[in-house]
Amino acid sequence: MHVQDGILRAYIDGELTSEEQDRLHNHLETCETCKERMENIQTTTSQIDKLLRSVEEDHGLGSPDFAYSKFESLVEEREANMWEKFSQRKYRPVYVGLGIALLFFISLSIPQVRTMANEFLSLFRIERITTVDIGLSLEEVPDEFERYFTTADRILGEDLNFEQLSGDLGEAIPVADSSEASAEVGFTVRLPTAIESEPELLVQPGATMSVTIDRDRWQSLLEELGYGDYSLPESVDGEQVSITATASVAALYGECEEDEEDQYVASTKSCTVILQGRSPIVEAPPDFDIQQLGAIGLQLLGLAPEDAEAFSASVDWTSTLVIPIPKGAKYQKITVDGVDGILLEDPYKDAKTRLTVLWLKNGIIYSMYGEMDIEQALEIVNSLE
Amino acid sequence: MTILERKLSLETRTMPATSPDFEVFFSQFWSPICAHCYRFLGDRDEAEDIALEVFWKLHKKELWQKESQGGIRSWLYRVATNDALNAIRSMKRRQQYEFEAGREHLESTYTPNPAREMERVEIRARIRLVLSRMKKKQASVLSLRLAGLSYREIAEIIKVSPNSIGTLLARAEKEFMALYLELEGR
Repeated sequence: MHVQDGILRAYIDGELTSEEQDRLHNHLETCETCKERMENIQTTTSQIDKLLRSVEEDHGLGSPDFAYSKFESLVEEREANMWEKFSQRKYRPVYVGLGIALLFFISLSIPQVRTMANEFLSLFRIERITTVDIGLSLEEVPDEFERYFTTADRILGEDLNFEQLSGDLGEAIPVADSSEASAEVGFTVRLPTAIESEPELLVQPGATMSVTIDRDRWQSLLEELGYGDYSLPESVDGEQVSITATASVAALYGECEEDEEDQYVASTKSCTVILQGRSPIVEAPPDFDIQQLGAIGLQLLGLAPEDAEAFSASVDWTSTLVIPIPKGAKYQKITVDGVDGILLEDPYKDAKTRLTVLWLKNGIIYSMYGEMDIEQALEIVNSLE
Repeated sequence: MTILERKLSLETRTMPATSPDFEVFFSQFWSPICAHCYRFLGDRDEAEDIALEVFWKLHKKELWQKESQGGIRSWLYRVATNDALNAIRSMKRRQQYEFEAGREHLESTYTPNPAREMERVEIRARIRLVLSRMKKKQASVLSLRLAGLSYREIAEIIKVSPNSIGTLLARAEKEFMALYLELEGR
């Protein structure tokens, strides 16, 4: 019986238990094959160690004190920056955020081909939702996005314009009942009859984010993200792109207090949230190669170039909200509220399962999340009226 | 604040200014984290930039106020590994160019031992290219081991079972050497 490479490797590092370490030691005394294999592994290990050490000896990295002073000025600079703050509200729940971020990325990168300066901008509105399996895993998603945002922020931060359509920036307005909410948002707000308790209703005012494109800077962003092969045409310079989210409503059931934990840690308290709002609107110059830009966006999410292009060609970006599904995430397509929807299982579960259901009906995007099983979720969403 | 506000609000989250506690973490972890990034990048300035970003994230997430020392250490290594890998991966296309540029730079500047220094630059570029071509998990295991972390810590960082580290590491090392030798033209 011979020993696996992995065990031999752990033996070299002294990472086995002392019993295992002794047992293997004895085995190696008598087994020439294993001994030889162990020596081969050891040779590779020390070659790599030596190689790495040979270039490390004089890197002369800065002292912590010096680095800390650099860090302090970096914090100061960033705390004053708006986009950085905007990006902090990211991805809660992660999937919806991802979809919006992707859409956002695409919308920002849109203006492709030549347009007359005075031409009307084309208008997109989401009519359906679809999913795409991406290469990034759940653990990688937040950090990857952080990287994109940080890079984009550094290069484009100053160009961005962020405007709320009414009210104070960021303030959700409590309303008394669904008719008041409906009046605020301009569509009929629907609430589930399957939950007996009264919800806390909040209206989130709409907002528009717009940017005027500085072509050279955008190109350097693509380059920095590793997509320098893709060249933005000169004609996009000075074009304006905007994304508008109109007012939406959240119905909160149960105890929905903020927990101070990391964003993924599910609250142990029972809280169910139902969100509804009109699809966001993207405005951009009319002629552009949206497929190619979609493909770039998907590659940023870890899809292989050929897969990204194939998917991008198969989807109508102007009317589809694409929800990227990270590796390892569980989801299924279901029928809810009489239409096709998507059910996502939150992987950061404690004892209970946290679900998100997402669907689109009559131009309104709905999402519900909370700790429950699938049956309960379906019962709630199917009882909206 | 309700979850909704957290989720939807455009509100500016107020952040504490850097505090003495944070500074303690910073001085404790700066050198190892920066050296870890350097291992991937082979360039002092780039390594420092990435390490600064890592600490910025730590600061912003306010993790340092609620996590244990060990938790912070794992978090820092996880994010640093991920960021450094991303950096070298996105640089792939430019690498050949940089490789050449490095050579030219050397030819135009004075060094006491140009042959030795040239070799060093080439080795660095090669290591970086190899790490960027390896599977992420493999490159992570390899680098974390080189950083001197225990199997248990590595397992926690890359979220696999501690028992699988030996196997992952053996494979990663084999892959590293194979790619390295291939680049070296052997």
